[in-house]
Amino acid sequence: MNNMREPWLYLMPTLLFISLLVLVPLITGISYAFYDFDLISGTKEFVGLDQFIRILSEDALFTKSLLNTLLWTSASLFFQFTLGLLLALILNSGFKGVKFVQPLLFIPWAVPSFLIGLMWVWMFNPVTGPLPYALEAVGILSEPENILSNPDLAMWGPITANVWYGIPFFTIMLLAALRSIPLDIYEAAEMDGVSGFQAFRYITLPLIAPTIIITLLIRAIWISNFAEIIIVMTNGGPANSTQIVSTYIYDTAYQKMDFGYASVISIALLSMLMVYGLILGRIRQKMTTYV
Amino acid sequence: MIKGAIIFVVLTLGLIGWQALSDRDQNPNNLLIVEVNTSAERTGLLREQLDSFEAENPGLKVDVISLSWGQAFEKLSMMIAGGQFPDVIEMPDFWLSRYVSGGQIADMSTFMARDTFDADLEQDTLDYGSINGKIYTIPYGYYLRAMLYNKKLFREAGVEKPPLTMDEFYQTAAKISELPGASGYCHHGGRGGAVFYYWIMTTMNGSEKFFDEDGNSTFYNQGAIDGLTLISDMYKKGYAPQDSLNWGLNETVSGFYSGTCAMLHQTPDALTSLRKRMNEDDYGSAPMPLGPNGKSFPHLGYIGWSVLEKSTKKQAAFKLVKHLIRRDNHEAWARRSGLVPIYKDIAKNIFSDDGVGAGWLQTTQDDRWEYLINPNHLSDIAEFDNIEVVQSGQAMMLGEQTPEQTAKDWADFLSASQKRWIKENE
Repeated sequence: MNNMREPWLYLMPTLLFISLLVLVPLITGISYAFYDFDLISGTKEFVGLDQFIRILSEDALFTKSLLNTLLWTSASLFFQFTLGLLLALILNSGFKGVKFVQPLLFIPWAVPSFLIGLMWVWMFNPVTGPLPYALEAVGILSEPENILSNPDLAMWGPITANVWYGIPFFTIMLLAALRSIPLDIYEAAEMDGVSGFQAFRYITLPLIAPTIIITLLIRAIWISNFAEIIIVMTNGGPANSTQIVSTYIYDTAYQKMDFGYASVISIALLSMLMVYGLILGRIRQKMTTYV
Repeated sequence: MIKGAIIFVVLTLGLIGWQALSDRDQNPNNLLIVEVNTSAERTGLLREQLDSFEAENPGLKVDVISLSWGQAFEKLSMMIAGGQFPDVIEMPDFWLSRYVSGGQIADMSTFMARDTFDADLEQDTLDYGSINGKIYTIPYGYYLRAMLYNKKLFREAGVEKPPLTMDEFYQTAAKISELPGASGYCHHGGRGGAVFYYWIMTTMNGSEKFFDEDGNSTFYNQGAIDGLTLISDMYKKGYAPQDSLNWGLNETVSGFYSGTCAMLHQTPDALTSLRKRMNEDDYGSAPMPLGPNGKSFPHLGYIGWSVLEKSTKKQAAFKLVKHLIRRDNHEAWARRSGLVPIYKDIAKNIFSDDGVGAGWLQTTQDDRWEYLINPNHLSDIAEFDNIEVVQSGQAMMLGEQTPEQTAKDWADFLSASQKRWIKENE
């Protein structure tokens, strides 16, 4: 009996620490969802499930922001990943001067996101930035307008900024994975007469697949929670065309000061991300049992 | 690595700030003032005025916490919710009702009355900072709207003077928009631009009142709908730049000085940055155009100083507020921050110094212009300004909803809020 209890005693300080640091704030946050809560006056009124009914039945903006979140996350993730992988492959080829170029490419990752937002706002502004004219020159725009003010295109502004910001993350992770592949596998394959693409398809890709999956999983969650760039660049506008769930939460909490409803939206987002996480976890399990 | 370093620095600074706060409580003679509309230059001026306060009141010391405007509301709310109470805070008009209804702001009525001030005080100054007859804040200056116009573009389009009436405003915008690459009006369609809609709706409606006596919003009156129709019509015809739909403050100002658009609805603090970028002969200011009944209601916003109810040194805090709005300090403050002062005679001094302030001078001295004050007593007015009006205003400009529908939505929002307020204050 004593034997059973002993390990738990050793674990106790850590467990207490974790539950205080993680669980208590989480549960407090979730409990707000059942209250009509005003931060400044500190008034809390229990409203039960009213706010959950509101989000499911009458909140059209939530549905819209959910769809926008899908576009925002999938487009950002797709371009960050493909460009990041490309960059990692180039860097891994070990061309001359790679030691000099590599640190430079990681700079965007170190820039604060508010600054990134401001920088790209000016880039997309026809008065101060080159992008509208460049886009016109290549035929994407019919005139040098600011895409941030066009409800059909506005989302691509923050997405561009986010892609610029997020590429280095994928490059770092994938480069580390690429460098961990033993070279003798490639040598053996070369003797068997395998082409460059085949080597990539059948050796490189399966070996870095676990890293790909885990980085995609982490990044997707980060991106869908990442509101700063959008808040700085468009504030969810024009006409809510760039409103994603996390900017909607921010507006609800800090503009409308409605912490209760903000908590309800957060719970909705949280549960969807958890489902997503579980699915990706399964896929990862399948992919790693390749032997 | 760098991210880690940034987080470390932020945490350290946070700890230092927290330490400073707890130190202060141990020292009963230290006052704490929080500024929210921070700029390096203004903080310097504030410090000077606090130093002179300390010199005049031996034994009292004042510490300043400077928050950046973008996150000030969150940070200050968190400070107060966390039980850290400053003595004096900078109070924008649209925060007032939230803090007052939360019971956080001290009533200054016993300490300040009309006779505390000189005779040329703008007559409603004390009312602006009052809710239900109690004075909660003293404005330190006015963000009054007037029309900046680009004289060069006006000359090129063959327009001689700035528009005096709403019709002229429309015609002028149309004429200037015929010039290649130029539009008539710099529309502020993003956050912060709501007050332009309020101006055009009330001015076309001929009254500065937001509500009738029963608490029904005037925004659904025919005049107000006409106002919205006018501006959305102008936008659709291209009299305002297409991307001004989502412009914030900086974009409108850069649109103006770059000559993209020729008329700008602005507060006088914009002059500070325009002076650096434009030749003084190339632009001027005029009062906002008059409506059909010969009146116009340019919006007036204000920020003031308030004392917290939970301050342990209220008497000293009131004294500090009085010191900051003392005539000489106030003039220096209004001049340096580019604001309309609360004293009419000081306004004359400031705006007659150079030609570009003419619009504000006339607005403050001529009876045809009356100030439009937001219904700041409504606790959801900031939400209305920053979210409701911005998003549905953009939808209206894009043609996704009619001006009439938009006016109705806004009126419904405001009427509901006003009626709630009336009920709570019966």
